[in-house]
Amino acid sequence: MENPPFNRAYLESLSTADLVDMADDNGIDIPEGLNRRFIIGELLDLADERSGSARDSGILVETDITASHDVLPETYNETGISVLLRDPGWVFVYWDFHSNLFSAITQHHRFETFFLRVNSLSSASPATLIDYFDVEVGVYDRKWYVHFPGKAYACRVDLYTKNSQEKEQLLARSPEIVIPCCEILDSPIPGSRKESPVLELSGITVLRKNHFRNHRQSFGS
Amino acid sequence: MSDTSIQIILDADMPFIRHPDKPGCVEESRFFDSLSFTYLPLLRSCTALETEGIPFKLAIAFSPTLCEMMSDPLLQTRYIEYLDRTIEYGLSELERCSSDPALRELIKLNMDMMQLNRRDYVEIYDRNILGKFDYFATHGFIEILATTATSCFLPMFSDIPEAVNAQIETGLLTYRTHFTAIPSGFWLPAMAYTPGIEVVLKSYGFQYTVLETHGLLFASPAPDTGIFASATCKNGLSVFARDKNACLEVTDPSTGFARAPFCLDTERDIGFELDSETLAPLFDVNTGRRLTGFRYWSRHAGADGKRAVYEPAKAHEAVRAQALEFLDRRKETLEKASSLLEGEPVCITCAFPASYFGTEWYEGVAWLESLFRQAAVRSDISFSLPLANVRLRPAEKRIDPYHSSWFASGYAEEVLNSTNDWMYPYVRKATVRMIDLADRFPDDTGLKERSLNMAARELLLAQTLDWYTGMTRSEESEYAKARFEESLKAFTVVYESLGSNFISTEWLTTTEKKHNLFRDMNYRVFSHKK
Repeated sequence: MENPPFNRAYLESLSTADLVDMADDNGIDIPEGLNRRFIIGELLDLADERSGSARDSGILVETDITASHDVLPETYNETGISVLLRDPGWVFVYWDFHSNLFSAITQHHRFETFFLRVNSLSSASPATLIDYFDVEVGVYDRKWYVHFPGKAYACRVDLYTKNSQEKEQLLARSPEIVIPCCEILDSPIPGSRKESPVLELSGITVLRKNHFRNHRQSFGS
Repeated sequence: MSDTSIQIILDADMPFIRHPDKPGCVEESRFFDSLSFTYLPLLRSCTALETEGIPFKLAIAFSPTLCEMMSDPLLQTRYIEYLDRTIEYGLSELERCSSDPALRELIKLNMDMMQLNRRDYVEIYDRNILGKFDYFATHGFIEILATTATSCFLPMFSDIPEAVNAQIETGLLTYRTHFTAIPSGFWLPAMAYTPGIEVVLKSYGFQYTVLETHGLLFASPAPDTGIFASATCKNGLSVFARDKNACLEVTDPSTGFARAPFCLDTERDIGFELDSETLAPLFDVNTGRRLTGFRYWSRHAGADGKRAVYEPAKAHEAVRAQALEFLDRRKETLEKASSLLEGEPVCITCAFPASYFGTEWYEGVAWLESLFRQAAVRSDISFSLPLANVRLRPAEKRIDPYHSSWFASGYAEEVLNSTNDWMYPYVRKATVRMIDLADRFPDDTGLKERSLNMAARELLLAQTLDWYTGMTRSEESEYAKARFEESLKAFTVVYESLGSNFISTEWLTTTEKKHNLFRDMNYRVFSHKK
């Protein structure tokens, strides 16, 4: 008999009990109460690992099993953190965990919290740390907006966990992103800065005023 | 060309909306509205100007998704059916309003316009209106800018260079399918700029792009010529800055030209006012109320306090006055700029969404035509194309432009907020996976290549910024979410099928037929550049 395709569409059609059995048969240790999406993620990871380069050169076979996804996956089962710039003052941070790591950390009796460490970096090469602050996040939080104060050249956000006795533990580190800075915005008070007549005619004064009104948190103190 | 000029750039964009299985859906009707009220009237204006020997210069960035919709046989057929339905419905509307001569005149006006649209579309352009725009481009009236494959907000992917390359390369491929020129200018969707994009654009041979005002004025160092000439980035790419204030004179939601009292109130359309039974010959209201083109009221109240009936002749006169006012203000500014810059050539850049003209502002196309007609008879101002204004001055300071977009926030708040931020982990993960697939399967053919091209197409669609901005508007959010998820799920099906080596060809064929854009899609555009 033809083996069923080992893909998400097929795995999602199985009951949770069948998934646990399948994970067990394949030597995957599933902590009790683990979300079925994590189990599917683990099985797909395993399939990915096993097929390896053989799959890359394999032939795609036609099947009459209709591929479908009712919902997008809740997780990609990877530990990582990313940062996107929204405007010169705010960044959007999102992160995720590998199921095993998440279970191991949160089920540990000394687990206390997760937190984000927001690092200000200099423009030196390699970048050096100027300052940082921490933002505590909930166990099930996966995104956060962070205001980025000061006049750092770049920022990086790290995901940490902390328990009641041991020191904090770094879980993931975002790539560095450059924070926009502009000399012309440093003196938002009208009249405090003399612009060239061409820039005045271009509307720089009104622009600076509006920019200050809408993005004042972007200005350094 | 005089040394003081205005350059007008239109962003002709629409997300890819095509539902073979759902004829008459409200989202598709927006495409038909843009043909009826923006693009066909614009071509009529251009043709009239050319015939009369009146010079006109206009730059347009046609998004590849709009081009693909304009050249799609199914949508072309549906558009003709839509025109026929509207013309026929006009007869019953004439009967319904038989006791009101003023309304009957406006009904006839709309019917005439739809008949003209049908004649132009079928008999003159043979359903291919892009061919006529290309004609104007090859004759030096229009400059057509290239842009991304789908209107992608590039700063959200700037850390994934393969994603930016894929958008640009697929956009260029589609440009070559529809137009004959080699594009010199590149339109950044939403004019969204982040440092580094200039390097990518230059590497594809583009000479210039356009930024929002603060993208140039907040540059480091600020350009000597302000917004009145192209500035040059450190890598040699030229950048123009839009004159936001000049554009707001036209498009400001409360004080713009379209809000003038004599203008047609485009929102007071019978499609939003009559009962479902009366509208049934036109569309099923259960699929969403929409514009029909039958609109009778101006934006101001009459002496009795009631809504005043729209008067086309009065509106036409007023549009001429608005065009004159706009030209005079620009001339005044340009004269000052020219004097400050000691006689150097100066220009003002005005960039607008194309659909604003005609679709949102009914008189907008007539206003554009009036601009060209009035400028033609005066010697103090003219219109120019961006490429002619690209100048490299040896002594000029090279600049680093500033993060910017033409959204109200000036940055990315409209595409990154609590309503749409959940989309980024998915779309960015899918993007990384696509790059991985392109690298793992560099030489594949047959079913695997078809599947990979399908995945690439769906990923590009998922990056369409309209789905992200749509999430912030309650009336659009359901559709935007459905479209985003549909593309992401389709991508995931291919991704996992390649992992399991099984794929349903029935599903693949159905999806290909539905999202039939980018026929020459090559998934390898997502490969790492070696």
